[in-house]
Amino acid sequence: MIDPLKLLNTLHSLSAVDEARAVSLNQLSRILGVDPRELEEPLHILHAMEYVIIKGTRVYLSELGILKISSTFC
Amino acid sequence: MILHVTTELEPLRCEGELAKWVKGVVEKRGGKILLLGADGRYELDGIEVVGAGATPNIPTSDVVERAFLKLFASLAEVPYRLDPREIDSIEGHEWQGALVAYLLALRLRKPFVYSVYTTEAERQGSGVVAESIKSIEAFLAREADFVMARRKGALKSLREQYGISREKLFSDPSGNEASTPERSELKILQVSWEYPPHLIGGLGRAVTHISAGLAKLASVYVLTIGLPGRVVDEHRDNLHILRVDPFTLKSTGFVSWVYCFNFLMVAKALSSNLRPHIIHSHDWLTAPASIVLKHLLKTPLIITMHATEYGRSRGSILTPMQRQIHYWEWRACYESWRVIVCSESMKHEVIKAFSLPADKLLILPNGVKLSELDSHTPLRGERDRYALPWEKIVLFAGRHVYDKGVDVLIEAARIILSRRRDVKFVIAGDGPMRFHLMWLASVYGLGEKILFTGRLSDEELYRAYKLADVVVIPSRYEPFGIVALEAMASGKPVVASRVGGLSEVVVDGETGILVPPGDPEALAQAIETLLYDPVLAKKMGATGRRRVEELYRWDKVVRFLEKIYRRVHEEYSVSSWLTLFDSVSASN
Repeated sequence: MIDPLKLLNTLHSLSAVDEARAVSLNQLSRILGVDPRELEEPLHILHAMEYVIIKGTRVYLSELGILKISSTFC
Repeated sequence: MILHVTTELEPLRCEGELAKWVKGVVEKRGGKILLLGADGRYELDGIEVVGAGATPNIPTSDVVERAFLKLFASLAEVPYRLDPREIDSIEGHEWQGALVAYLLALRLRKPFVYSVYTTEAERQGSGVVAESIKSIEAFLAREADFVMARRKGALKSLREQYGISREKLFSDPSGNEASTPERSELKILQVSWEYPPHLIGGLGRAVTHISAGLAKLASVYVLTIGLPGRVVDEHRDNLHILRVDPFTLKSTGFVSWVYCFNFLMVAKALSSNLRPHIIHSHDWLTAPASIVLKHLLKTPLIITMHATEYGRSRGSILTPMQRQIHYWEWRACYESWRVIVCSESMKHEVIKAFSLPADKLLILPNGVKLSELDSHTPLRGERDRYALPWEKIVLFAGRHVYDKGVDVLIEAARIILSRRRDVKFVIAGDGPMRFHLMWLASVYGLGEKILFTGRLSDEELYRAYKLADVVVIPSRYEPFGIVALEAMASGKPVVASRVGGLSEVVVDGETGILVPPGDPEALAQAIETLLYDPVLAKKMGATGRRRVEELYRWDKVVRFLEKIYRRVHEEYSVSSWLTLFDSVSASN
């Protein structure tokens, strides 16, 4: 399983921070070089923690998710 | 004269074809070349070449990080190497050269031309690095007064993949009508990555309180980042908040993200025509922008070091990320007129980490806004959110990182709960260790006795302090410990590690109990002492409150800070600091 934090960091790097800038799961899997099915579990965890917002097949970081990344590095 | 900015040129740097292409363009159109990442001056077949200064020799993780490192290093040097009087326009070749050209054009109010030879989209790169470069190229093409596609492939790509119109017209670069500042009134530019709504820890709170307090004494501009949907500037009397969208450009990781928003901060400051008397930066996260603005605007810089990577890592600076953070911390301290730290222990740490002379440092503690803290009393039934009526509350508030020692608190909780069950541990905050800590509590079978609240708002936290019986700060590294101060201001006894600023803020035996860091047995014993001796706990809480009232109030901090600013401004006024950009008037 992909580390949920890695997934969170990738969304952050891709500026997927609102609905307009959300990335599709296919795009995400292509960038990470993994099968889209491998994203399901970590995304589920991140969604449960309210760090990401999933709209159909597109995903982006919530405000809480952005602050989570910021708190990781300072 | 056209100033061409490039990263590649014969004979010093010619890794690809760009060097040849740029030389061809300059031969045809004329002008001078600013070569990034190189030192000295030379002539290349009749073309004058000026080196913008070497790039710091520290490891980076990818080309985007490297490009921004080169950009910040160059922009801090350019005012001493380049006379701007003869420059009519600035042309940046490829994205790395264009990033520097863009900011120089903003500073000098000259047209910015973006020369494109190939695009990342053309190269069909994939992964986060490629995505980041594409977003930078798109940004530069949008911002340029004129985009020059130097090859057919680039033209097609710019039109079809970036949506740039073929003939992009010059806009009026001198359209900014902001007035020249009056020198009689002190104008302070605070540069901070943390400011509401982007609040992480003590740094953000310090900048918020300092800025609000200072606005009564001076004009204050806060250059900061916003969150999605909340990237708006605010102007309230003397307080002006200028926000950039830190997600305008895609990045390759945290460090390049920091570089991206620093780049945008410089652009924002220059396009807003800011002319402060003092630039006050906070930590390494805004050091690149602050250092560049210092040199481009010839304005004294002050840095507050809230923490250091050297301290966090106990002196082990190993990874490219750590090396870059350490570099920017050193550079910011080196470049600053004065370095402010929050405690005596931080002073020693900064002197040791960066070999700074002691007389460059000033200690300015953090503070508490008592009126704000006092105005929040627990809501009816709020205590039930945290604990059962018969349970005593032990509160931790802070980021869930190794330095904060939350794992030590969980070990201490295990010890206490093996002896008695009338205690609830409330752990407020969030951070990278949250998953691990929740797992640890679960493995120890403490799930019902340890509550992870997640992030609390300031108001919720202020109320939580008042509901707590004891506040614990089990840090392994703590430059100051603002949570200790807030707990004391709330009249609560504190159990804290004897590290860093905590051993200065908390008086052992008077306002709380200090224990050795990383010692769960000692921590458990101290917590139990205060939980089961309410008279002692109350006495310590009252003493703590008095200590805060006497020593740690933001209004006192702000008054002292204003004196520092005025002193630095006076020293600057009689200094002989000259740059070649002095020939460009302040408002130009």
